[in-house]
Amino acid sequence: MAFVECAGDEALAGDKELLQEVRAGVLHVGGGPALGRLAARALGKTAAAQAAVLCGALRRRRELEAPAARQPGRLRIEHLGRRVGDAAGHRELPARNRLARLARREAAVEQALHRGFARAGERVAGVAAQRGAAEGAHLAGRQRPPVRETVPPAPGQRHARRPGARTRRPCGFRVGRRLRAAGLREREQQQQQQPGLHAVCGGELHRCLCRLVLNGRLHEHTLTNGLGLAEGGARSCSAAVDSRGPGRDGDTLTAAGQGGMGGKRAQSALLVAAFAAALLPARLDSAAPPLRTRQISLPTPTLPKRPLLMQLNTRVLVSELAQSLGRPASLDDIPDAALDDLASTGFHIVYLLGVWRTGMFGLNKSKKLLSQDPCMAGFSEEDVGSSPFAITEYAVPEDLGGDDALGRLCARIHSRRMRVVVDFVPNHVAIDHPWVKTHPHFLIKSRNDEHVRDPGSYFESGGDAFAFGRGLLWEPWEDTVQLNYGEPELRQAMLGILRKIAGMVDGVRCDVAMLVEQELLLSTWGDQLEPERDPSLQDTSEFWPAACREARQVNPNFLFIAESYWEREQALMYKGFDFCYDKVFYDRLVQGDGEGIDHLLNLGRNYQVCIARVLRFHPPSPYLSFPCYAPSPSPPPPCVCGRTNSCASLKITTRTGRRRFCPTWTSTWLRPCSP
Amino acid sequence: MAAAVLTLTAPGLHFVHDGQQDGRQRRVSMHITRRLPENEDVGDDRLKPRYKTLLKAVRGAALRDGAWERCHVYERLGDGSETPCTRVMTHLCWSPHEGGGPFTEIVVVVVNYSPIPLNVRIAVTECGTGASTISELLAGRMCFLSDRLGPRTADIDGEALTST
Repeated sequence: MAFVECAGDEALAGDKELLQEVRAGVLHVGGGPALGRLAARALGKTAAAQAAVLCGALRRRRELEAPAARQPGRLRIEHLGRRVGDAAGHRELPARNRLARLARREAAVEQALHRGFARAGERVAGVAAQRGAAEGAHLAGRQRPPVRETVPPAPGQRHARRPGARTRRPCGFRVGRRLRAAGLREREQQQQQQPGLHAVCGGELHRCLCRLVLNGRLHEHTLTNGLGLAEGGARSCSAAVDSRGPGRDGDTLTAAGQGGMGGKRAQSALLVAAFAAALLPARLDSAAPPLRTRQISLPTPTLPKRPLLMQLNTRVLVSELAQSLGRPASLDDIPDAALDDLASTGFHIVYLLGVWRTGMFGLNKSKKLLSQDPCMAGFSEEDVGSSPFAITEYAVPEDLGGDDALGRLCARIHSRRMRVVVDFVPNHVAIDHPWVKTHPHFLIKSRNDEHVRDPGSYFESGGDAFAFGRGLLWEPWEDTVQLNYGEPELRQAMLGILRKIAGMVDGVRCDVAMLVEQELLLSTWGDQLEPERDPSLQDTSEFWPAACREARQVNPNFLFIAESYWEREQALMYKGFDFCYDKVFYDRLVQGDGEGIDHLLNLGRNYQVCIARVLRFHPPSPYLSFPCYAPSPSPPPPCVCGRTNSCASLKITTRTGRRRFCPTWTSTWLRPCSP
Repeated sequence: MAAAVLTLTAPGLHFVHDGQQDGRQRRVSMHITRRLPENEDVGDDRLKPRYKTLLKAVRGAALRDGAWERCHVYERLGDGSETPCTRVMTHLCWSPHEGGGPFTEIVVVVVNYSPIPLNVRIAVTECGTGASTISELLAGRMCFLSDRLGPRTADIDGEALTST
């Protein structure tokens, strides 16, 4: 894409050299609207080129006409981005920065910039309104922000334009000298209520934030690269482009163009997309001061075939931050620099482990483990926290900043073109979850005195005996209570939770996902799945296809990652998961089994692409071979805190009084436990 | 590191736990909100820079989004004969511009997952299908070879690669 600048009044017509550059697609020119139109014609009137023309209005062409800048392929907007992002401190820019030199004529430059932004907004609004015909124009008029029109006096300018004076082209935009806080809030509220794409490109060209309101949900994204915008162009119905130039002493210049589009939604969105795209590819300038403007929203970028995921243990991260800051920390304290590091390292997904609320029961349970778990050796009771998989509510606890803080963190992560994944624990909830009291029918209860025969797997509450959360072949997790997936109301409640999560983030990592597959539920719980009130109501369908469908209705790109064991990966993939852990691959890596790995890598391609390659597992059961220390291939490390798989088999066969099934799908390493 | 190379280049989602890239060894218990200070946790100081190099090496379109294929590996025995080798995992990724683009990136990942050094031949040119086989990609072109985990680079004629 070529980036065309057209703020000045000069026409391109007489400049054959520039025109050639335009045709060669390497043009980055300054010029006036006439130039812009000409350039757009030369480029074949693509939407992108048009928008680039529309919004590239930044500087007078002459100011950019230094010989060096006319070399093909040179991005002038890059310099402009630096300039605009550094309005207050441009004097500090290195002398080699041509723009800094130009900026010494700051009055004219400042004014040109402001005018450029104003015109950009105006033109986008104008085109949107034209295309949307009467309906669009009507919307555009109705959505005008309640801001007074003034033009700020640029530094060095002798007199400001009179308040109330009309701007040059009153086409769906207003320019305000002081956008007061109240006005800003009002605008933001309006934006949040109004469905559609709201783009606010501000004093910094290289970074734009987008806000997308869809289905009553607000998505916020910051862009550092405009390309992503074009990907999501087909979504919105109204466009608001709001450009704010950098001001001083709180002054903000705003030029907002708004246009509503009726039947031409895609074009409108694409236009806005291209608008931002034209502004954005300017390279990030680390010297630029932080932005005052925000907003633009766009869908998350397409994931590559082989994405890279970073798992952050949120509570460890926040507690380390609190330690270094000397005060309680929240998600807001996670520094931008850390996120920048992740983005620059090439991560596509950030998995925030343990963001949901846990309870006191889990905490006390963890304290009891302190002396038993070798991985907890050396830590004190203050360092103990509840297991993140014993969740009392799918809400971010106040000490991490609440749901709002997660939203802000997501926006910061999105702005770096990464996705956010959080936990979803389908099999169980914490023992102190409100459902134990309010919805006991959501939970697995003891039938036929099962709790008397197997007291270690049940606990009593309110006269009922409930089952601890448990996997078929594992010991119960004694800080959790098992959910009853035979109960249709429970399924609806879990789907509701997924819908909520899908409205907040981009995906879930489902803890022990295979445990709520119908086959395993039946094997583990049998007739205990029947709802007490009416056994015929028992839901026997698969949960995951419905879960994926529900979540993706809210967020079409919602990711499902399964933590899975017992070679259930393929079954989970068929049920809608994007990626599944592969414990066998991990085991073979740990065992140094080169031939085994070779065999796994030769499996079918469709299977391979859905595998999550994990080098560290969190143990769902101490009876699996999870070393406390990271594996090294040769020789395999001694098993410090766990036992081996064969121990797990032994456990099952020797335990008396408990009904256990070894299902038909058991793989080789489970076979010894077959009756 | 061999395991890390495999997990970060095989197909699928590449999962990195925070701390893994720093060479931290001790697994963070799910019941703890702290981890050991980095200097007490890192056993091998060489891991961190190696991970840094590796994470840098696995960026780029070829490894992230390109075609992926296993390569045949033949072990060279003392008598000069060759035998298929499964102890060395090799796969190949190439950038999506295969054939058409002016510049094609081919990444060859070779992992010797055995405790002993092996002398092997990697049949790179057998990869690819139809019109976009690797040998066709290489034919008549100059290749710039660089070791992504080390400093070595070389310019080689593509024909020479296909013929050996």
